[in-house]
This record gives sequence, structure tokens and C-alpha cells, in this order.
Amino acid sequence: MRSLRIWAPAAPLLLYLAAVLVQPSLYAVKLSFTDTLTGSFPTLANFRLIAGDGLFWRALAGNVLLPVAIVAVEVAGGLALAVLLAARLPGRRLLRAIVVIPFALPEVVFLTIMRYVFAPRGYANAGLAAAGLAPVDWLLPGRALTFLTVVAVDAWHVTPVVFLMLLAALVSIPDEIGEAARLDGAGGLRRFAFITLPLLRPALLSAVLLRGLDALRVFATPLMLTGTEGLPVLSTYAYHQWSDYGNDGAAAAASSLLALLSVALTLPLLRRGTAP
Amino acid sequence: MARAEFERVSKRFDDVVALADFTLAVEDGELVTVLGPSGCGKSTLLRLTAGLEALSSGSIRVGGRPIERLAPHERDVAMVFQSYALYPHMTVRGNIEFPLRMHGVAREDRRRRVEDVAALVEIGEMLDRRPAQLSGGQRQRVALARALVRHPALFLLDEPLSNVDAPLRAALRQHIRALQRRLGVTTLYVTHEQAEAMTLGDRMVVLARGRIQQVDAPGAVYERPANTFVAGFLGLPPMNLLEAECADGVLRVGDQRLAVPPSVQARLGGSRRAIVGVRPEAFTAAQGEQADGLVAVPDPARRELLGAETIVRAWVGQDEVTVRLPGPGAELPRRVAAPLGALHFFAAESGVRLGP
Amino acid sequence: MRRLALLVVLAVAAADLLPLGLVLKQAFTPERESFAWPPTWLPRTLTLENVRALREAVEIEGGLGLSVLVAALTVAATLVIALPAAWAAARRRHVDRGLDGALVLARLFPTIALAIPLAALSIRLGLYNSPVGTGLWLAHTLLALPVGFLVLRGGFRSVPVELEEAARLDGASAAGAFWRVSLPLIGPSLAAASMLVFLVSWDEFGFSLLLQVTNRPLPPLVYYLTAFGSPGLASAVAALMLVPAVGVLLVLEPALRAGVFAGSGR
Repeated sequence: MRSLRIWAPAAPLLLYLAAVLVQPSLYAVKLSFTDTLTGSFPTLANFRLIAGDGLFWRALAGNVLLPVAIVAVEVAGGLALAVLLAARLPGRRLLRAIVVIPFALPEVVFLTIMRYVFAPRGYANAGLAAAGLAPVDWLLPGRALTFLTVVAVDAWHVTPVVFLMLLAALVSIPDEIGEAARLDGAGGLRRFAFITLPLLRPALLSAVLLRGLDALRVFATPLMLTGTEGLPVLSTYAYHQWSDYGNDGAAAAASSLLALLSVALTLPLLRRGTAP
Repeated sequence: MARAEFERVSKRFDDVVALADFTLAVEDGELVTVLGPSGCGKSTLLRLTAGLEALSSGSIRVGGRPIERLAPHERDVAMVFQSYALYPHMTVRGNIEFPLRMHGVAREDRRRRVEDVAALVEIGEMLDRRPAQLSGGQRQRVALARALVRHPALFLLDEPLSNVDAPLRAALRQHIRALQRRLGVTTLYVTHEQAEAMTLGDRMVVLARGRIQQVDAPGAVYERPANTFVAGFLGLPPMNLLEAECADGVLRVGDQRLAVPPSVQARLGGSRRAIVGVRPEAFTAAQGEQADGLVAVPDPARRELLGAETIVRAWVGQDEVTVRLPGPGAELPRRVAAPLGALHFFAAESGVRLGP
Repeated sequence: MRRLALLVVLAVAAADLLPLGLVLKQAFTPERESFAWPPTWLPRTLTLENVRALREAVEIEGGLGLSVLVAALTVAATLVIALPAAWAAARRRHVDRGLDGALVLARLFPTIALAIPLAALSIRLGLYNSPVGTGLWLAHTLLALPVGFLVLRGGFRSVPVELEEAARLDGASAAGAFWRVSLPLIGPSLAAASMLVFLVSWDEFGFSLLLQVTNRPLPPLVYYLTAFGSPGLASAVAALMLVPAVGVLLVLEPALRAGVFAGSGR
């Protein structure tokens, strides 16, 4: 019974998780298999409903393509920034602090201003007009440009996190190893490819994992920028079912699929010991 | 395999002079050690030679070719870093063959050369391990192998044994020396350990505050130090240095008067002051009352019994000296003396050797 | 190469300061400037009319109050739950591993996947759209726990276990040692954790959107205003939201930097 005493302080946490995490999850599964209109259970009605909805399939595709693009851009951008700011540039302390600012802004605030930036009469188009170019429709539903704009906005907000992670890893590589590589005949690019990148692998994997997880669950960004139909993802689709149609069951079905996707994709990577 | 020539090599970092007017010629196949306290400029010397820093002035030639403007990998110079700087994510084999890969050597050739050099440093069985799995001594040998696999013209070692456990050091020292002799590679070996510098090099350079103090074979440096710095730096315990007055051929040191060798007196010029040096081991028990040389009175309260020898503090008038006597020291002689011929003379202000 | 690096970095810095600058600009300039074409980059006239509109809009006052209340309750709940757990984790390795795993699982779930059943459940329990945000702070605690746990555990780890052992020898119980010895010693960690948890709740959007409809905290309110309202007002509310965020970051920045850049020497 000593074991019980040792775990006792953790009891509130575990009970809380059971109440707020486990129980609702199970309830969500139950909801997914309950027909909202008739209340019959179990049934596949919800899944049949969403499977017949074109918006759902677009949301599913979006939920795969968007995270991939987001992670690619953010990790590459974060790496580039880390490499640039790891060098002994003047004022680098200040620059490093500035780079973190977008992440410090609350999500909603950041997205608010981005709406105004990319609005038809917004700042981005004003910039284009000042350069003598025609205005662009940045956030029209269903367009490739919209996809790119959403990726860019999310990257703008979150790249600082990746940057910080990679910077910490980068500066922990001893100088002498780079010097040894110089002596061995490796120029800048080859040093980066053969020495720096391999040594950054654990940090890169961590970053991909962390960002991938968050990107899969992206919600506010597409919602605030494109509404529920402009660039649908599973989370906004679930919200759409809940809020616009009042269909608990379908909403739960969609969100449960998203949860399944998240857990399935990230659990194996977590096992590899790159957990944040 | 080539001759290395340093001509008035200097390096400044902002206001600090790290190395000044360093001039040295290292013969083909020679091993020259560079000895000095930390901060004396020896690491700077290596980094300038390797091309990791740029010279402020002067020139360096390897095999007659000036290298000071060349990129590190074009200089045909290889270096073993103090921390070894092995690539942690590569196997031993990967580490050793890296420079060959960078220079475009074909795979078969690479494999053969890696195995040859691995056999030379006796790490043939560890080729597939990673640095983290090796001991300090093994890692050092990998660093050696990586440097030597290119058959460089000049081989640099930066305090290679400082991270190795004391018991292993002597053995590894000999190993490095044997390796260097066998390959005949021109080598610069930097260290702050006297024992290494004395036993390893064909010649030794003593460096302090960025300037060369003396260059000669180790024995010569020990027996005829060029100035008070070298005199006080080499030797354990260090040479005793006493202030003395020299006038008309007579030396007054402590409470004694001794004869000054004429050559020394000549170089003194008009100066009346000088510094007299005597090594602790130059003292022997004095027979009776006859004082032939510099006499000192041991203080029995301050001795260290080291078994085969005894270190004891002794008085020369009001001055103290350290004396080294053979034997367990249970019974100390009442007086000890160092013969006149064992005394060294240095100028009082500059510290430069006056003789004999 | 260095010039290129400097240029890129300056461009990035400008891009990073832009959103902040624009929010502030739109908050403190009249509406017509934000509606104008082309919109002004720098303020032409500074005004507090948006701030005044803020104070007159009842919903915003209510939203502000709710945000503060929910955040405060989240801090309280998180501390109550996380403190003992973090202490246990700091002292016992297998408790640590177990809790780490549990919290990883908590972070794994998408907000929406939990928000929907929680909303459904809170409707059934009568907690939906509560004017005091009851369901909300319970949900926010879930998001705040990983951060709070991490910081508090770090704090406990730095208190040597010998101090507690000495207290036990002096007659205190295990709980007593925790309460009288360790807890007072983790003051800075407590403060940091509280600030971070406050911020998590203050900024949170997903649960707030689904669990509250008419009694809304600030984040969904901002969304509503950008969709249906005036840029000036929306930006003013957004600027208001910035205050705690910036405040917390200023206070915690040295600690953050020490943690991230530790061991770099650059």
C-alpha cells in the first residue's frame, strides 16, 4: 500500500484527467455513433452523412495537405533563421528577441490583424498598389493562393518557436567540430550538410513532431481567415456541423476522426523518444 | 613531409598581442615542442598555422610554399585538437575517412588508407564504433588517425594528452613519438607540461606572453636557460633565483661571498646587481666546515619526505631556497652546498642570461 | 554572406513587428482610416474614440470581466491540481514517468475533439453558456496543466529533498514537509506558472468559442467583431488583449532566455 501513498498526491490530477479528458472522449465516441435526430444508438448514420458531404472530403484533404505544408515551411524557415542568427552578428540579442514577438501575440489578436492585412482593401493589396501592381484576392474560398496565404500566416506566427528550438541545438555544437571539418576540407555548404544537419537531427525531429501535432489540429487560423468553407479542415468542419446545423453526432464523428488521425500519426513518433 | 618556416609571425586581437615576431624553422621530419604557460600564445600559433585565424603580419611557408593566405584545407596541414573534435554522429571509420571524402578520394582507396592508418594507431577493431563508445585514449588515437590519413606535410598537435588520465600519458607519449618517427612527418607539438616537452621533442620552444624565450634541444634548455623565465619554468621544483651584488669579481649573496666567473663579470658591465640561479638538485651535503660553493642551512621543520628523495627548505642568509637531496631524509645534513660551477647568472633587470 | 544574413534578418524583424504595429495603429486611429483605400500605414490622427467605444459596449465589459474571472479560476484550479502532482513527480521517478505520459496524452487531443463532447455535456448539466464560465475554466485547466506541471516540477526539483527529510526528522508529516518547507521555497516557480497559466486561459479560443455563446470572453468576442463589426473596435479589443500577454512576457523573458540559451556561451 506504500505505492498508493506515493501516488496519492497525483490523485487530483489523474481524477481530473479522467473527468475532463477520458470521459468526454468516450462520450464523443458515443455521440459519433448516435443519430442526432432519432437518438438511436449505435448507428453509422453520422458517418454516412459526412461521407456524403463534399465539404467533408475537402476538409480531410485540407487536414493532410495543410499540416504538411505548414511544417515544411516552419521547419525550413526556423532552421534558416537559426543558422543566420547563430552567427556572431551585431545586435543579435535584440534580433533574437524581435523574432519571437509574433509568437508572443495571442492567436486571436494575430489572426485579427492578418484578416485586415489580407482583406481585399487591406494592407497587402495596398503594398501591391504602391508598387504599381494589381490587387490580389488572397483569401477567396477554394483557391491555391488561399492555401498559400493560410500557410504563410501560420508560419509567420509560429516559426519563432521552431527557431528557438533549433537555435538552442545549434549553439550547443562545439566550435571545434566545425573547425576540424574546415581543416578536413569541407566548405560551408558541405559542413552544413555533413556535420551540422546530422547533429541537428534530434532537434529537427522534435520540431517536426511538435509542429506537426499542432498543425494537424489547426482551428482558429483557417476559421478566422476563411470561415468554415473557404479552406476547410476537419476541426472547422466539425465546428460547422455543430454550430451551423446543430448536429452533435456528425460534429462528434468528424472530430473523433481528427483525434484518431492525430493520435495515430504522432504516437509512433513519440515512442522513438523524441517527445518534447 | 616538408620543412616549415615561420617568419616574424604576429597576431593581435584588438589591443592584445597574442603572438609577436615568432620566427622558427622546423626541419623536415623534426618534432618540435612548444612549451609555455596558458595564455602564452601557443594555441594561437597552431590556429594561425592551420588557417583558423588570419595572421596580423609575417609569413608561414611549408615546403617553401607560403600558406598564410590559403584556406585551411589547401595548406596540407593536419591538426589534432585538444578536445579531439571527433564527429559524434559518425563511426570511427567515418571520422577517419572524412578528409579523404572531402578531397574526392575514391572509395576503394579510402577504405584501404583508413585501414592502414587504423592499424598504425591500433584501433583497427573499433572502426565501426562511435566516439561516444570509446575511452579517452581511444578517441585520441582516432583523432590522430584522422589527421594522419592525409599524409600531411605539417602535423599539429594541441595539448593532445591533456584530456588523458595520468597513468596513460607516458605510454601514449611514446606511442605518438614512435608514430611520428615512423612516418617522418614534420610536427609541431604544443603543451604546457614540462615532462612532455622535455622528453618528446628534438627541439623545444619556450613561449611566454607571445614571445619566444628560447629554442634549443631540451637538455640544452634545461642546462643553460636563456633567461630567468625559462630558468624558473623548467625543473621541478623550479630553480632557485636569488638577488645578489656583484662587484670587482666578488659575489655577495645572502651572507656569503663567492668568486664571479670572469666571463660573467665582463657581461655585467657596470651593473652591480645580478640574479643568481641554482637548481635544488645541485646541493649536496657539505663535509665539515669547508664551504666550497654556495652554502645553505636546511630547516628540518620544513621538509617533504618523498621516499627516494627529500625536498627541504634551506636558508642562505635571510633568503630561502629549495633543496633536493637523495634518500629518505630521516637525517638531514646540517649544511648543504652547491658548487660554483652549478650557479647560473642572469641580469637583474632584463633577466637575460649572463653566463657561464 | 554576412551582409545577406543581416538583410534577411532585418526583413524578418520588420515582418515580425508589423502585426504588432498594425494592431496598435488600428486601435488608436479613427475608423475611417482603417476603412480608407489605401489604408494608412502610419497613423494620421491619433484618437481614443475606439477606446471610448470599448467602454460603452456592454458586451466588452462583460467579456473582459469573464476573461479575467475564467483565467483566475483556471490558475487556481491548475495550481490545486498540479502542485501535489508536480511534487510527487519531482520526488519519485516512476510517478514522473507516469504523469509525463498522461500529460502527453492530454496534449495529443485536438481541442475541437474535446470541446464538442464537453459542450454537449455542459448543456445536459446546465453549465452551458454560464455567466461565470464554469465549464470553461474546467476546460482551460486541461490546456494549462502541461505547462503548469512542467514549471512547478522544475521548481520542486531544485529544492533539495534533504530539506524535507530534515523536516520529517523534526516531526513534520510528509504533507507538512511539503506545505511548510518545499512550497514556500518555490515562490518564483509558482509565480511563473501562474503567469503562464493565466496567459493560456486568457488567449484560449477553441473552448471559449464552443462553450460560451452570449457570455463570451474576449477571444471569441474579437472574432465576432472582426466578422461583423468595425476594425477600430476589434483592434481596440485586440490591443486590450495584448496587455497581459506583453506583461507576462516582459516579466518572464530573462528566465525564458536563460532556459533556452543555456549552455550556449554566445
